[in-house]
Amino acid sequence: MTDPLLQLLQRTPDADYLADQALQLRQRRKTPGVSSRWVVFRYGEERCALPLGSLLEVVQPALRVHTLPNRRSPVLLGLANLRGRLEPCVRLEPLLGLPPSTTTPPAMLVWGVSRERFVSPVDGVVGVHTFVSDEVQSYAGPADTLVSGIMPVGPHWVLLLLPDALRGRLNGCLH
Amino acid sequence: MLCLAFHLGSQRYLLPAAVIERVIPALPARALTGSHPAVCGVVEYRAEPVPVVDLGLLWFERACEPLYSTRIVLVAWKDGRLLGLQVEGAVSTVRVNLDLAVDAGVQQAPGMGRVCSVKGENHQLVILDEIFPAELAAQLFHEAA
Repeated sequence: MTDPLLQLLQRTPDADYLADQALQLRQRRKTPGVSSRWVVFRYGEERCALPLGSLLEVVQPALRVHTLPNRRSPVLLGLANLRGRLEPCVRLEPLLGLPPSTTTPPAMLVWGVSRERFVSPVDGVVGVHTFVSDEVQSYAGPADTLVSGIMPVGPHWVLLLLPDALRGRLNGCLH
Repeated sequence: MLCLAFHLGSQRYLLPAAVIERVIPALPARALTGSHPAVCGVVEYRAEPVPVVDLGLLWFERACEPLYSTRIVLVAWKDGRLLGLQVEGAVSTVRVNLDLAVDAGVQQAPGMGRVCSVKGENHQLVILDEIFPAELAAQLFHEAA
């Protein structure tokens, strides 16, 4: 079983996910909004999500990152070797106003828009969730141009990230 | 025919999509005292209790593993009521040409249909109406009422 999505599904579901799903399924049917699937991950206690369509792979354990001389940046960590192909390894926390993680990341997300790919370390992958558009709440916090909204999942709020906007911001940081 | 593919341990099965209302995560079920050992209990779906049967327990006396890929398949039972079937690996659908499915040639448990090959692996069609003995089906809905 090599498909990264199938690998994600071969894990024990966490209690928050099941509680959230049970709550949603318990409710009577109402006019459905547009649903979309997101991969939820975390930085410390903060939850973020990218559209599932932008996720290419979850790499566990994290890849070794090769730093670049004279290119020290809180965003660009270096280059990650993904099966012989070098991809920029970028932290998303600084762009989102989150404190940088101080621990060794256990996983990395390989995500992209069009042909551009990025590798981003995360503190953990929570799972794949389906969010309905009319339940997404507006967000007016830091980096709100990078966030399309927030959704409650169990006791946590999940920032729904905009991959296109992230790519634009990252390209500004990298070039 | 479009079918949901699932497995129980290493054995692979197909359930016709036409009988499926929805596939939901394997929510913790509220146990029903005194029910058949294969009955996990009931889950609440759209404000109605739905009995759930673990097919792993029913056929192999081994409960489905608690993974994201283990799902409850809500099927339309008689009288339009819903019944949940807990199965493993319910993450994909396949189109099956029934003309190529063959009879297994031996007597098997109720509900076991013809066998067909999907991506080089043998899958057995499940005949929903025949899965349960009548007394178990009656007990399920009696308990959930």
